[in-house]
Amino acid sequence: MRVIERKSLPTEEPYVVTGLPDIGLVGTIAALHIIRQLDMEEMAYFESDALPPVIVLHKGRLTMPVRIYGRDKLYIVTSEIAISPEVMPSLARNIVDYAISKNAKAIIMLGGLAVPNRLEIEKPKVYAVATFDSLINDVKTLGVEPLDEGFVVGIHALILRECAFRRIPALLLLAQCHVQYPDPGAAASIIETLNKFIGLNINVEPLLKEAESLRLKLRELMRRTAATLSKIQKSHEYEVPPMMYV
Amino acid sequence: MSFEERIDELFERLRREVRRFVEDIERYMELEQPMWCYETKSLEPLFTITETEDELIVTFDLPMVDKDSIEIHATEDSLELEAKLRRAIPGPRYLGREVCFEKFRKVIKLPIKVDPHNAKARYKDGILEIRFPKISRQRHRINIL
Repeated sequence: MRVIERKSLPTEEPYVVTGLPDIGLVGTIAALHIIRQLDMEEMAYFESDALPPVIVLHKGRLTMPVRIYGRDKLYIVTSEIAISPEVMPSLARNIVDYAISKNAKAIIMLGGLAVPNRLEIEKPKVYAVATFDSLINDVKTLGVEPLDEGFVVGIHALILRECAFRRIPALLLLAQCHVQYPDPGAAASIIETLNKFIGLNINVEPLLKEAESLRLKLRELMRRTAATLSKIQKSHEYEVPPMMYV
Repeated sequence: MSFEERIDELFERLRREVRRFVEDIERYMELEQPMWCYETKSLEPLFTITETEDELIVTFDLPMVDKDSIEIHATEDSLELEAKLRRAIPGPRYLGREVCFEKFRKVIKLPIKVDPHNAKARYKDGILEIRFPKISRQRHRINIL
């Protein structure tokens, strides 16, 4: 896999934010909204024989399904296709390599945290995992709770592992969400946290207004993502020693 | 570990692999099915099935649907849902004509037997949740005459 760069931002120490298909498509929905609101430009795309043979048409223009957008001090990595487990390791490495090449201040991943009682939750809470304690302390002041126990599975786990290994500041923000349904409400919560953390001013009202139409449009991506996630969880389930906490 | 235990472990591993293989095939086959039907002008909703000790819970994601336009029918082992969309949704052109989708429709074969008469449903924020009591699996003594 490699990154084909079309443009680059002149900024020093940008943030690299990822919004990739995962539980509740929280990251994807949040990324889509940020890209639209900030009118971000396409900067680069990922190229690999391991990616499915898909090309996306937007307003008659051909684009690649896994892309990077940029504006001011922000890059956003997003995907319009489900990321298969086979592609995840190389995608994670390429994202971290890209962030290093841009001298990024931090990699911030946007994702969801599945909760069974999501229907009862009016405003989803946001939790955080980070490679450095200092990042956790920063987000704690914004009302974000650190996630103390549990597993991180999938692309976020691989990016975190790569960043921990290479001593890169990386922060994973997770909003409470539905497991298998697109969750624009969770995406709104996570954008509000990102607004405070890196000083953006993205309005989430339009996102909440078009929530129903987004849920309708994202059914197919959600179904494919859920199938991928179920596959990862399944193999993960078999691999974890059952007595590890004893 | 005895020889028998080793054989048991080997068979258990084999069973697990076969189960995983079958699940993969089922998942792949389901993914290849389109989430719409041009003939009935319907969309397929996302749904989940979970089990507790005494209930089977089925949920559907039904955006753009009002509560009054949802029809649910169930038997001991199947569930049929139809829900009219608030407005017709234009789909891609099919055989040279434009098709608009008017409703969600889904028929599910339930994984276990349930009591449809005592099922309870609620609809909140576009998500329909139906809770079916499981049919009791209590053992009954049978006397030989």
